[in-house]
Amino acid sequence: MKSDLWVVFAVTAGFLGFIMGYSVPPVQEVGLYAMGHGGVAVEETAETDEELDQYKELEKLME
Amino acid sequence: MQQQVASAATADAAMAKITRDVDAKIKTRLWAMGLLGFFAFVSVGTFVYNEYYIYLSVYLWFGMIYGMCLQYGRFCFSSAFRDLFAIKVPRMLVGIVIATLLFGVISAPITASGLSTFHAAPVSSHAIIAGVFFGIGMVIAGGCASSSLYKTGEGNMNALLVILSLSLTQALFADVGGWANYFVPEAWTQSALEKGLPASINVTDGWVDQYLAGYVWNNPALTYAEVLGMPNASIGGAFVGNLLVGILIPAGLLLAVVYVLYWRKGYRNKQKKAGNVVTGLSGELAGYWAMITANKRTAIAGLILGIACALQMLVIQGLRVKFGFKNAGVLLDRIGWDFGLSVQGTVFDPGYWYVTTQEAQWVGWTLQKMGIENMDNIYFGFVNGIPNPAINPADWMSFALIGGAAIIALYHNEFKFKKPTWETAMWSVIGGFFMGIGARLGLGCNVGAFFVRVANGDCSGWLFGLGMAGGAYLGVKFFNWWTEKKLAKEMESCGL
Repeated sequence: MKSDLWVVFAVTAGFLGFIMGYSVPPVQEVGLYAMGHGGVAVEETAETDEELDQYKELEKLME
Repeated sequence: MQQQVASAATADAAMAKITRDVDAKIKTRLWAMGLLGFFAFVSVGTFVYNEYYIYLSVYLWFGMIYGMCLQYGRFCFSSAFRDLFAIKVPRMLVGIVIATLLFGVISAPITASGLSTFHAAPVSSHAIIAGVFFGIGMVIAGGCASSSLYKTGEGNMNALLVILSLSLTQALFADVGGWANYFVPEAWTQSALEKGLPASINVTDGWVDQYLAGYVWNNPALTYAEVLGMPNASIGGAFVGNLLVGILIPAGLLLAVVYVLYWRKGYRNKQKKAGNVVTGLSGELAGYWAMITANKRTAIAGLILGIACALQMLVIQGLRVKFGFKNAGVLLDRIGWDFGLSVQGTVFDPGYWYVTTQEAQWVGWTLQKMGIENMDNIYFGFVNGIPNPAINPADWMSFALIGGAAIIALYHNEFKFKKPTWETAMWSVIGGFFMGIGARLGLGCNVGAFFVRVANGDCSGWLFGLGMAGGAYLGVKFFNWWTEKKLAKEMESCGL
């Protein structure tokens, strides 16, 4: 019966593979270092309220 | 004739037992497959409905992996410290330290490339005090925040009670004001007011609000790389600062102390019995290595956990780039779920493994729905929000973690519905209470405030761990005292 466990691993790996394939190309597109060093994300929108920028540093401190 | 009848009856009984066992196994397998199918259906169904839901599915599938690893490795901080202090067995603690170290090794390249979603927490003595509360709680409860989740997946209802108590305590503690304001130093109040937080937060009403804005935020949030003057997103910063100085050296020293105090004597006696003589540095190193490799399951689980945590950061960052937002609050708003977003439009979206905040959120959401205002504090109202648990990304992770643990437990015949007694229920609730207080004071639990922080070079991680060890020691001493007192009482009632 334990051999059936591979089905679980295979399904999980399949979803993980799909998720990776779906999300990693945008990272490659903008370049790893562009993101990590303050680069702007693709399609960055202006939905963040500019007036709340002052709280950005505070936000980092809290979870 | 009688003999034949008897042997036929025995054969029938054996056959019936085999049939029952096979039926039970089929039932077990169906449950496991059902759980897997449910998660797959949720992922596919929501993605077909709206592609934004893939962001939540990322949390779901990584949560599932975390659950599988935790159950396989029996990853429990409470057991680790209890075994060490009560019976002087360091196996689980060593396994956890090795797992943390392996996670650090995997995190370093992610940090160096600038893709890490991790950010450091403020460093001060508050992390030690928080750790003490948390350590006491996890020993009393019989499980830490993460192990309570996987044990719930194994059918342990005491663990579920721990989660409920931990969740409720956090939600109530984060919002406690009124009488509690009398215990806030004036300096905290003034400092909190100077932060200029939105009026809706009402920062002068709430102990935790003033503790955070008036004290915790005033302390520097540093990694070892930053202490050494290197940026995190650099080879030197990530590998030398965070990994070598922040993890490898302190973990190596900690393991050396554990080796001398708890392992060396037993190892030498064992070798002596086997006819081997342990001499010199090579002998000591062999003993050290034997200790490190003693708990392979936990170490393997830790390695996979580390890989999964690092991959989750990468995937989450990729989706944030793809969809063009920095926090899932924007995503929830786009798909029409705007209830419970913080005043900044954010929700709790760590981008890596986390346990306690999402647990507090669902209680916060429930209380809000019951008419109890919960958005006038920093924890919920300013930063994390209280979104509906059904679409809360981090809650998807926790639900799937329980599910993943249940699947592995079912396959290993370790799933068993365990009903609590009044006494164990009481300890679960009290332990969960202490852990809830500790988690909010330390801005995280054994995972968020220790495991993830240490592995990512956050200076506050080891401080929380130090407090947690101290708290666990006190918890073990208390339990020993309680057990002895109870035994003495029982013996007295028996007239012994």
